[in-house]
Amino acid sequence: MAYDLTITGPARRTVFEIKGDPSALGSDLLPPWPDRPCRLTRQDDRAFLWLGAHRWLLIAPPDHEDGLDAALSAVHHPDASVVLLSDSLAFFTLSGRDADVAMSIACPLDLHPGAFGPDACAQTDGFGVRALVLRQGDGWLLAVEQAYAPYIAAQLAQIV
Amino acid sequence: MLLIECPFCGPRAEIEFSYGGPAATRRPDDPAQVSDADWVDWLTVPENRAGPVPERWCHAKGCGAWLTVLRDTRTHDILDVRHGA
Ligand SMILES: [Zn+2]
Repeated sequence: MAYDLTITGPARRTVFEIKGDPSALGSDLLPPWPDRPCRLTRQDDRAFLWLGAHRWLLIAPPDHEDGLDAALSAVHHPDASVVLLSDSLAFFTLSGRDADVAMSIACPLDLHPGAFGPDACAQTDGFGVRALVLRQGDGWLLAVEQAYAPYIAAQLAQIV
Repeated sequence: MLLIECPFCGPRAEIEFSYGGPAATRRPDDPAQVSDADWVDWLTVPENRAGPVPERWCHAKGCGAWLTVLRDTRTHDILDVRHGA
């Protein structure tokens, strides 16, 4: 059976890891804070994900990198560390009517809309490696460490 | 498959976690003052009780936090999960 599934990637996006206290960076650069763990907020094509007790990710389109890097670098604060991770992560998108089925093969989480809503995000397991999962449009964004990109691409190709 | 309720991430599958050994025994403050036999006991002979046992688990594929999990070795029931040691 052929799935109605479109996969893109691996692709690069702008990613900053923020540890400590993001409020130290001011409110102009970041979308509003997610109010619960494993939730995200979106603003101007940027997503702000709360993924650990003191860890956030800012994900933005590739062409936002230079501007964000300059702006975040200009804000030095002892309570917040900002690290550019764009080169570390490879992003795949899954879309189409069967994208949810493909994700259920990739990932052990309950991704039903009732359990994993539009503002949910998770670091979890994707085909056995650490993966970042969030919704994008009607489909999914799946990110893994760059070194695993060929492996993930091969796994996704097997589903198609 | 265990379902472990991470205090930050919520209930997650066992494959997201790494087992970090028993949590009950405290590392001797000064190993030089401990006999070889006691040191080997601490290092390599974990308590293996039939019943609730505190264990260290790292949410390695999730938030990265180290947790202390109280697991019943007879039933695999997870009785308690908390951050840290
Ligand atoms: Zn966690």
